[in-house]
Amino acid sequence: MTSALAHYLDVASRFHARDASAPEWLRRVRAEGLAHFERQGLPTSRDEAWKYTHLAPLVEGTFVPPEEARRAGDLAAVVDRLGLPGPRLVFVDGRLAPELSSLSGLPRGLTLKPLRDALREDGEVLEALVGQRALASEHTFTALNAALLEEGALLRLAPGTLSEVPVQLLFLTRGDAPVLASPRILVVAGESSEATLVETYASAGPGAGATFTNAVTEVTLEDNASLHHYKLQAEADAAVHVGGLHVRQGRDSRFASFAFSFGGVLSRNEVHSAFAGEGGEATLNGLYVGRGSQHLDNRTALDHAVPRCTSRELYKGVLDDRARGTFHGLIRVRPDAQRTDSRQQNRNLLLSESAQADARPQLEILADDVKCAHGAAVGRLDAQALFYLRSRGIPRAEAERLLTHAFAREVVDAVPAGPVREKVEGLLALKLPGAARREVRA
Amino acid sequence: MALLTVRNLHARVAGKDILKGIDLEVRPGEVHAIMGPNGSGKSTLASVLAGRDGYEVTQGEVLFDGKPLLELSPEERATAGVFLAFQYPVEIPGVGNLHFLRTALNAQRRVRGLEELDAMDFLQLAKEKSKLVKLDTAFMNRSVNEGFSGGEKKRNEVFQMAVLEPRLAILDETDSGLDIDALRTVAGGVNALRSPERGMVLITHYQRLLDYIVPDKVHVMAAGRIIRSGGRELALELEEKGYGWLGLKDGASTAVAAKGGEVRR
Amino acid sequence: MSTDTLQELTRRPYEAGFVTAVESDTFPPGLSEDVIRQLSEKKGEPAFLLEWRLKAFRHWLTMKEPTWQAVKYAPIDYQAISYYSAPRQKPKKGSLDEVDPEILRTYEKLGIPLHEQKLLQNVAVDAVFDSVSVATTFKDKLAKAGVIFCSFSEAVREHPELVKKYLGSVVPYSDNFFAALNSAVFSDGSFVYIPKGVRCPMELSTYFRINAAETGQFERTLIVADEGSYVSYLEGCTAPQRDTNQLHAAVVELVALDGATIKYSTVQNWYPGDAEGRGGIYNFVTKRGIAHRGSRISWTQVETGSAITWKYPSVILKGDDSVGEFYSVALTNNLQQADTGTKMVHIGKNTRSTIVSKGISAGRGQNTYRGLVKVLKSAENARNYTQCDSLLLGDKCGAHTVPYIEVKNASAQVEHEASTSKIGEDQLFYCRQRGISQEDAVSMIVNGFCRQVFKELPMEFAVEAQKLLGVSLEGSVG
Repeated sequence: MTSALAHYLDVASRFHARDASAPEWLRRVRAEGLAHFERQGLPTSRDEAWKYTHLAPLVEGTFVPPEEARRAGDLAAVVDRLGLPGPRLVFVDGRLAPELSSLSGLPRGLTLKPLRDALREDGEVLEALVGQRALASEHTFTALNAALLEEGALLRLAPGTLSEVPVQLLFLTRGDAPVLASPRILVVAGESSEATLVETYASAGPGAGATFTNAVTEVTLEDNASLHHYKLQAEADAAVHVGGLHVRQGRDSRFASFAFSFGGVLSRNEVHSAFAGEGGEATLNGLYVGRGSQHLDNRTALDHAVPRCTSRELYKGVLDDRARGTFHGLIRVRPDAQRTDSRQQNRNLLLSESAQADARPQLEILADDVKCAHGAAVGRLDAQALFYLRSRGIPRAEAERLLTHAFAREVVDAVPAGPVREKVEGLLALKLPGAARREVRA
Repeated sequence: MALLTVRNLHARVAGKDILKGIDLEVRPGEVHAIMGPNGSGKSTLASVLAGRDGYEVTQGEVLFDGKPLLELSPEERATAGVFLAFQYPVEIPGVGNLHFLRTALNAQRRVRGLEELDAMDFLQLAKEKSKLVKLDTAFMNRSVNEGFSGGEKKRNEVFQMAVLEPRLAILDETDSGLDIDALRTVAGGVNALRSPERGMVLITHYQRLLDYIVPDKVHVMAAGRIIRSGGRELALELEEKGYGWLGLKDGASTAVAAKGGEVRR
Repeated sequence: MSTDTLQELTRRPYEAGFVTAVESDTFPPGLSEDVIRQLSEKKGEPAFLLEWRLKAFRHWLTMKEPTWQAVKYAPIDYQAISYYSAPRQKPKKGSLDEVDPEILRTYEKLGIPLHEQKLLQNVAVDAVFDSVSVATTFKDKLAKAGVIFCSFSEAVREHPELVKKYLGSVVPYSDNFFAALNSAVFSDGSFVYIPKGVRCPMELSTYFRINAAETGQFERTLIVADEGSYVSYLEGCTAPQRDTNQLHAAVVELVALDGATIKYSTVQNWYPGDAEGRGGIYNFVTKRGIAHRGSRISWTQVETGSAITWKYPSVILKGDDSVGEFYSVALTNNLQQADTGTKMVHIGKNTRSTIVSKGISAGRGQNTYRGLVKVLKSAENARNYTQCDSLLLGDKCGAHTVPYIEVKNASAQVEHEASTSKIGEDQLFYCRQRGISQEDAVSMIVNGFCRQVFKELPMEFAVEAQKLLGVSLEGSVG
């Protein structure tokens, strides 16, 4: 057994012992999580699903869950900067920070609760939800998350609920301790309801040390429900982030996912969606921007299990310095899933000689009346376009910045206009190399 | 006189009885909503009325304008004025949306002995009608439904209906899979097309549609029969109490088939 | 609309299936070095060509017939085929008056009038009847522009230096089994040379007709487009309806020098065999072009005939900034089998290739797209876009897509799209529900499906191709 695995097993069993008063079902979820984690262990590059992932930062760190919540009043300015108008829950180093959270203005029919409260008040509901979409038996980090289940949020929409304002979950790390945060987010959208959920992961300082966030989100969309899900991951360069978003879509439901991965030395972001009823639509968009020695790893899996569902995927990567980007997208069309219409695109822009991108589109089509398209590209800035701009007097660096921005914009432009897009644009401007340099100059 | 009369309609698909005695009468100017859980036979009824292949009528009759409908081919029904807005509008790659619609309109006009519309006149008409559902012209020149979003496909159906001006429009789950904004647009188009001469049958899975298109009559279907009919208040009652109120469980309606007769008024 | 009705709709008569009564000079069946010497002598060929043929033949003897393709056929007896058949006529055709009127009538019947006054506007035609070219039109007008367009035999006589330089330069005789056979026994074909900077003033066209029984047709086409020139070339083929299979093994070589453009279009309508799979042409063809710096080679093919089609028109993108294109419609009906596609080999920098393949399978037809996109290490910024769509009519036919992608340079952009759909209930019902008749709906759907390819064809051919598919899918709809 590796020392890292021994460490996490130790952490989880101590956690388990500490909360002896937890209800029986919760103790069972945690115990099973622990068992599944022990069985699967930490991945290595020999695991097909992690073949291209650079796991050292994760295996070398000794991250621990924080014992208790720390006062976080000093982070109000950070929350102001990253927060969106509307209801939100804020977590600092994996713990709920009530003084920064706001639950006012919740639309009728919408319930948003810290998971701690829900564990106390809605045991039956949670018991039926936890682990339904994200299987601890199949994903080792989901198992670790289950073993440490305590913090997170429950979002429920009654049938027909229309939520005009986005609901935000803001996860901050201070970076002054090797914290392991394991949020679990549970979403149930009732029939014909519509909502927007934004998960933001960021570093608040003052430290810049390594942290490990291992987040799991489980989403159930009932018939005809619609959810826009945004994940904005802009943690510090030393952060390790593993996230799994698991969705089940009912008949006629719509699910749009936007995964923006900007931060972390290692960021692994998985999106799994399964169609359980006909007429569903899934849109999975992603943008990963890396520099330094960042490794940004994206994995998507779409399960077309029933007929007549539509999926669209666009993932783009911008990689500078020695950064590495990985995209592995699986589209599975099962034998019954006739009339599936699925498109997947992955494009990568390399800004330096040492940057690297691996694209692995994968189609498994077992039906015979389907439309499936996939494309992958790895390239540099278009020399002709660059020359064209420079021939008009635009300096090289500026021209490169313009073209890089134009490349990344496609994903950002797919976000409906409004406060969420503004936040994304702000984070992107900070992240894109040219943009950052320009700010320094100014 | 009734525009559409359905009498004791029985139909089967792939050897399985789906419709087990439907009676329905739609007069000009009326909007009827047919609701019901998954598998109740709503879409089968739409398909049988429009003449889709593979549906075998085993009993009963359908009169359109007093004449037997079931013996007509799909295109003859269309020309007679029966329009079906599809639950899943079909993509036809390489065939322009406008070209398709002009071919359809002129095919119908030819049979009715009317002069065919030339490209210019047709474009004028299409532009006019497209405003109803907020479709722009760039969109109309793309291939039929190809690459359209779910909402665009449904708006395209209503646009076609506006151009073809049917006497009876059957809308099969035109609201399914629509976000609220798209639903409002589609419903707005449908409401604009209500007229004293035109009958409409809205087939829907979700009560929400009836907040935007107010029907004159509401029918609840289960296990191949209409088990309850009433005014709009029936839909509201259903929203409040759920299908369970009628002893129905969504997706598992066979168990209540026997009960159908009792509940029906 | 049931599958049966669809089958009905796809039943079609083969309109080019008649036989021309003409006296022919035909070799007895059999293949040997002697046969090749005899053939070469008959054509009065220079020694280098005979040598080349013999080398090809000797190499062929060491080769095995390929078996990787997804087509099935009874073994071909290469000794049972006659390797030369020509209509008896005066050895040199000074004018059309010397061409057998029966043959002229044949071409007229096929819609290819050869008399100057009836000629297709702006299309020069080389008519190849069995093993020889019988007439080439508009030669004078082309000569004024410096364009050479003649039968291959004539080119060997009149322009041996060009033939010697380019023959086998794109498809060497050792390339594959059928190319080697062709190199040994090819009888005629077309030759085109477009001088530097010349835009060929008219479409060039060769019309191939197999007439004699038990013969094979082995033609060879060579097109050289010199720097900065442009040519659009069309090829059409038909054969009579016979119960036995006939072999057609052609080779086409294209050379696009710097900045040149060659558009090569084919409408292939060889006899496909009857509904039970009796007879039909075995079509084993090697087509390849080499694209030098900044040049463009575009293959467009509409393949509706032949019992078996085996062809992969390819482009070697050797020069920087060169472009290769492949647009294909392949229809297989009844018991037809097609294994067709392309190879795009990216060698130069910034090379681009586009592949659009539309396969239609009806009856019990089997349709395979087999394509290779190869990006070598040297091919910085290569781009490929591939789209493969298959349309199935009925449930007894098959469509298969076999893409091979080999990328050795990380800057490559390779995109692949594929769809398989069944025409039938949904699309037809949708059209009919809007008031469009069944027959109009079928033709609308099929033409829409093929539109991306048809728009690449020259006008005359686009119309012919549409008609051909129209005929193919015409039926007895009441």
